[in-house]
Amino acid sequence: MASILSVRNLEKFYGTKQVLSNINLEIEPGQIIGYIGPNGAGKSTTVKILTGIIPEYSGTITIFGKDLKANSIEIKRKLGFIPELAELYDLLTPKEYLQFVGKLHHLDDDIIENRAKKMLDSFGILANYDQRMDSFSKGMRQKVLLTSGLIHNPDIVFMDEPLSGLDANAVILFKELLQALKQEGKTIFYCSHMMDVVEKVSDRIILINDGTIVADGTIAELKNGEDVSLEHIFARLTNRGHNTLTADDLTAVLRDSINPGNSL
Amino acid sequence: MLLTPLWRNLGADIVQLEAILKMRLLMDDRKPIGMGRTSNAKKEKKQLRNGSLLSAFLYFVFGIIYMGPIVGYTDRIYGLTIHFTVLFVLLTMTLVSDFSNTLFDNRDKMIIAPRPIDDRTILLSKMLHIFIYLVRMIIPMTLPTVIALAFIDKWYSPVFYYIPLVLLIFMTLFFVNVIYLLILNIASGSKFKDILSFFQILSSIFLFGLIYLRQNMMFGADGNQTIDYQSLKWVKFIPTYWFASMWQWLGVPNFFHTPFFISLLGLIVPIILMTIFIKVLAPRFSARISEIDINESSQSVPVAKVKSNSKTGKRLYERLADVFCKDDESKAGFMLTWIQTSRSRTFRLRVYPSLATTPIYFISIIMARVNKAGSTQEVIERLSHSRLVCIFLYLSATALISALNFIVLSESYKASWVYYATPINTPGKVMDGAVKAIIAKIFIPVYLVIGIVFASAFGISYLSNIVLAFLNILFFGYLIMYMGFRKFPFSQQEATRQKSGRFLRNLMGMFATLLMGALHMLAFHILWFKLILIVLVGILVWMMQDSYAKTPWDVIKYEDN
Repeated sequence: MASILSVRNLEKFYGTKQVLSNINLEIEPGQIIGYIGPNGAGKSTTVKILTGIIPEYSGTITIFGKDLKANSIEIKRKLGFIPELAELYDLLTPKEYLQFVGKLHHLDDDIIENRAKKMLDSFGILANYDQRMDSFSKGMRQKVLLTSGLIHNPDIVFMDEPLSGLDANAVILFKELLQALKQEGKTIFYCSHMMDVVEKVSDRIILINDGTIVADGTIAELKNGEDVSLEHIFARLTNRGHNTLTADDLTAVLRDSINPGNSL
Repeated sequence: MLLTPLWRNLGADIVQLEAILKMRLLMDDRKPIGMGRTSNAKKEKKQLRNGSLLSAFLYFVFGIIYMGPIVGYTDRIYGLTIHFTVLFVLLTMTLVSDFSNTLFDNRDKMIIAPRPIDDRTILLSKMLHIFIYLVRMIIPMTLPTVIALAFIDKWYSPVFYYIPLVLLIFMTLFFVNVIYLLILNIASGSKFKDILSFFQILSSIFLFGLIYLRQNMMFGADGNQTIDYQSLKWVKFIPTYWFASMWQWLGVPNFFHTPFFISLLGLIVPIILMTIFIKVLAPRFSARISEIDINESSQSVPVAKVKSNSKTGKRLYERLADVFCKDDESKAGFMLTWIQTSRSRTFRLRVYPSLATTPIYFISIIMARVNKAGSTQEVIERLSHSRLVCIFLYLSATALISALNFIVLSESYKASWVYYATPINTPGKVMDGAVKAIIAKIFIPVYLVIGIVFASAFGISYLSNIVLAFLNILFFGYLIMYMGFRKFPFSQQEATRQKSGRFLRNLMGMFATLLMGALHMLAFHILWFKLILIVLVGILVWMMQDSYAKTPWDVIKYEDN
């Protein structure tokens, strides 16, 4: 099957610091990709580049068979993005915010209203449709953001820690939503730290560390016959095996400070 | 730390108190904007550190104005009464508006609350913070007055000055607490902050009006001739007069013939009020504050509900967006700006007071003219031929410019990722929608009122002036936006404002508009010349708007944090 998203030799520098190096990806339509890595590994930067938010990079990115740099507007029409940290104009109500985003996607007012209400209803926050979001909890904002990322019915959805702040019920609903989107043939690119969810929902897992891909495959391929969790694989590939030692060191520091006599 | 034993006796943990205070003062210094501080002089980090020094200088400059009545009137007690009244109003305003930030600052709550710090230390740190703030403000502000008193009276007058001043601060604290308690009784949580910001806007308009409309009195332009002691008997009920009349103890002549006990009131009343404050108000006050904290922390309770009339069709701003904007992008920019400018406290606080400046300027100039002339008819006749009055049409530009200067700034600037992730072909369209929202919402209503006043006073023939000034101001607005703000609405952090060289750009824009205004003045008596100018400036505005709306992507850069 032809790739819906293809990345060749992607590199990104912030000043002299290289944050992404030699990233290569071929993603087929209808897949759920789990994109994982430690803090500062380059996950968010990758997503921001793939969604056209950061236009400066080297390498080639082709989405829907078209070069991202040359056709970013056309490609963005069919992309959805749900950022981390629930950043939105919170003085607006969900209705007003979704209307704003919908307008930027050239959607009709009726379509926006219709989709927004249905989606917020299934997230259980339709009652808050006309309330300013500055009093919303993080989870409620995240639900509005999820809605805003899907309202234009995108073909590829990028999600950066979409579960942050969501309660258990919403997480269940979200997992079902991912499967439903997959059934619809949507491609989902999913960044997260929550290994158990990634392990369960992803068709394929890509692990990035220090700006390079260190593992890429299905969960079975990554386990390679061993009876280990994804968390374990993650730790092995990114933590250089010093985990226990570091924790011991930490507690030793505290012991020294509490009882200075120990350090003498 | 200074006075350590005192704080220890009051039950504070000195190490913690010092740490909290240090942190808070450091934060104050790095805050881009504070009460009475302007920000355009602070361009770099190095200069930011001098924030305190700069504000001290500014307070000193303000202090020269407040010194006015003392130098202006030979009657010391009268001058001091005005001086203390102005100080009282100013301190009350500052305490009410700015200290709400200190008192209700919950940003460090998450850091301080889980640590083993007792309530006394926290309360004391807040009070000391306010005290240091006040001292930083009052010392430079009263310096000119003290110097003036030393010159006019003998050396002991400036020394004595600080006694009523301290009592004045006591009284201010009392009033501020009463105001807070009153507001707290009718509102809580975010509504409380809304009412506070409303109060701030009202009070700054009040102060501006006071200074501009009463400047003759403040600067004592007419000296003693205007003081009619018989008609000023009510002054005896004014507390600031009690403070001023204390100067009779120093042997300063007392034209009011104030009985001695009135000056004693100035000493006794603040002390009584302070006692009530400590014994009665303060405990209630801190109880109320902690209630606010509770309200704020239970974030899951949504408070502000916006009236929806989805059944009755579109809202006003949606209709206006349809009228003013052609495409979806500019409609989106228009609607976002319309809503944000209504709900953002900081925006309202910065822009709405400037809306009041135009009528105040206008009234002050009219009053100055009216005072000199005979019948109303004559005055109107003379004003209609006055170029100076026509210039006042241009003052309504203040409202437009101050609003435009702030539309790219927002506390939720990080939400601007949405512009970059959506298929926006021409960013200029969104930006143009935002500018149009400001024009439609802030400028047109203000100008309409002024225009109607001018047209009804000076006749329909004045319409050419009204239209020409309108177009000139629009040109100025778009010029400023084109030169300095080719950015998405609400997409920039507050602090970045200083980097933008806003002042220089405003100055250049001002120069271009001065040129246009000069042409208007030249054409003032020649109708055909004005009509030609109207057509020309109209075309210029259209071209300017068009090129602003065509701002391409390469002008805008995503600023990744």
